[in-house]
Amino acid sequence: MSAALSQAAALTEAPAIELRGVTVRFMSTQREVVALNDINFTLLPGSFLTLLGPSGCGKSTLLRVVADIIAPSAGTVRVLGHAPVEARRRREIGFVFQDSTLLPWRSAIDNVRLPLQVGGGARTRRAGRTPEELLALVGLTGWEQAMPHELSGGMRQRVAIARALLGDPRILLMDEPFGALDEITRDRLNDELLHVWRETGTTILFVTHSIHEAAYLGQQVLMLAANPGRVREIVPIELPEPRHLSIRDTAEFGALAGRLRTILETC
Amino acid sequence: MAQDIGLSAPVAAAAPHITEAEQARAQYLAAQSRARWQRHLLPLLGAASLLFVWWALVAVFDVKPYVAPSPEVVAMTMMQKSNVLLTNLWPTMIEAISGFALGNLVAIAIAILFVHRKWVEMAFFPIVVLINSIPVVAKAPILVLLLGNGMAPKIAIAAIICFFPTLVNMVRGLEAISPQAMELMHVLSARKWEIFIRLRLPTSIPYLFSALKIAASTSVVGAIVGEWIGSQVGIGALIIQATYNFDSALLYATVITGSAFSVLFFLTIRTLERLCVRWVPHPA
Repeated sequence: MSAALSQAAALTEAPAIELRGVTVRFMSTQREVVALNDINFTLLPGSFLTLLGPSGCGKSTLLRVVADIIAPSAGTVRVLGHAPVEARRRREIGFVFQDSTLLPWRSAIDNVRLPLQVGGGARTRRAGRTPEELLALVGLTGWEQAMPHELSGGMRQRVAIARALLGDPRILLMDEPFGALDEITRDRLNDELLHVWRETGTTILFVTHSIHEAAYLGQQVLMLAANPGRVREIVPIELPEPRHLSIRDTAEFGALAGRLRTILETC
Repeated sequence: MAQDIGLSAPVAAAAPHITEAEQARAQYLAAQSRARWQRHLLPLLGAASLLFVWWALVAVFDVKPYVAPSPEVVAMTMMQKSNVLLTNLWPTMIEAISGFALGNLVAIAIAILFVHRKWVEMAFFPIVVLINSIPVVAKAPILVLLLGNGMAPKIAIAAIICFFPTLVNMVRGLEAISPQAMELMHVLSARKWEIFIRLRLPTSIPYLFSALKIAASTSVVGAIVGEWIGSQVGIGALIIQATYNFDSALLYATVITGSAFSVLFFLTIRTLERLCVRWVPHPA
C-alpha cells in the first residue's frame, strides 16, 4: 500500500535524491584521492536505501554530498528537485551520525529542541511532531530530563534520531548510526527505525558496513566499491513488508545476504 | 521424586538467602562508613603527627625563636596579632581578586579573538609565550617602575600570572568541539555566533575552570611577590618585615594567613565549578 503510494507520488513529485556523475576528489599531501567516481542514482520519495561497501569506499562522503557538507568536484546533486544547499536551508535534511553527537550539558529533550534554536529553526518549523512526541516515537517517554551521560549508547542514539526528525524533514541521512552498538541493541533499534520510517514516510539513506543490517532495512542496497569509490551494483531487496527480525532466519533472507556477501568480495 | 527435590531445594534455601543478603548489605554499609571516616580522619591525623614532629624538633634541638618558632608560639601569635594580620591580608586580597578578574577576563577575550581570527593568534601567540617565560620576580620590578608603588603594579602582576594558563586552556576549550558537532551545526544552517553560543562556549567551560583553579592560587602568589618590592602593607610586605626583624613567629603566622586565603579562594572557584559544570562527572 505505502509502496504503491510512493510509486504514484513519484510520477508527480521530483525524486527525493538524484545524483548525476558525482565525483569527489580530495587533495592529500602526497596525491589526489578520488573518494567518489561518477556516482549515478535516483531515489524516490519515501524509499529506504542502504549503502553498503568496504571501508574507504566513500559511503560517508556520499551522505555528506547529499547533506551539502561536502561539495562535489564534478556532477550534479538534486535533493527534492533543488540544490542540496536549498534543501539544507529549508530543513529538509535530518542527519544522524555514528556518534550520537548530543550536547552533554543538555537534557534529552533540550537536545531534541536544538534544531529549533539555531539557524532560524523556529521560523522554518513546519507543523510536525513536538520534541515530546518525537521522544515518545523513539521509545524514550519518561527520559526527557535525563542527561546524556545518564543514558546508554542505544538511548543516546534514539535521542539523536528524534533530534534529526524534528521539523519533519523529508530526507533522513544516517551514517552508520548503530555501528558502535552491541548486536542486541542494534537489532532492537533496526526494528524501531523501520517503525519510525513507516510512521513518518521519510526518505532514508542509511550507511552501514553490516550485510544483515543493509538487507534487513533497505528496499534497495546500493553497493559501493573502493579505490575509487564507485557504484558496484544496486540490489533490490524483495522481502515482504512490514518486516520483522524473524525474517532473518528465512532461507530467502539467507540467500540475499549470501548474494550481497559475494558482491562485497569483489568490491 | 526427582522433581520434588528440584522444586523444594530453592524454596528451602530462600529463607537463609534473604538474611544473607541483609548481612552482606549491612557489611557493605559498615565498610562504606568506615571508609568515609578514614577519608576525613586520616588527613587530620597526618597533619597532627607533622605538627608533633615540628614541636618535638624545636624542643629537642632547642631551636632559637629567631630561627624557627614552635607551633604553639605561632598559634599564640596568630591570636594576639590577628588585627595586624587581617589589616595586611585585606590589601593582598583586593590585589589578588582584582588581578584574577582582570587577567582572566582579558585572557578569555583574547582566546575568543584567537579562535575566530587565526592570523592574530599566529602573530601574537609566540610573543605571549615569550612574555610568559620571564619569571614573575623579574617582571615585578619592571611593573613597579611603570605603575608606581600603589596597588596597581600588584594587581598587574597578579593579572599577568593568571593570564597565560587561562588563555591557553580557553583556546583549547573553544576548539575542543568534535568535527561531527560542527557538521551537525552546518546541517542545521547555524550561524557563526550561534555555534559560538550553543557549542563552543559551553564546551570550553570545563577547560576554563581548570585554568581558574590554577589562577586562584597563583594570583595570590602574584600579589605577594608584587608586595615584596616597594610596599608597606600586605602579606608580602609583612613577610619581608618579619624576616628582617627575625620575628619568626610572625613570619609563620603571616604565611599561614596568606595560604589560608589562597585555599579559600581555590575552594570558592571549585564550588562554582561544581555548580556550573554538572555534565562532567567530578571525582569525590
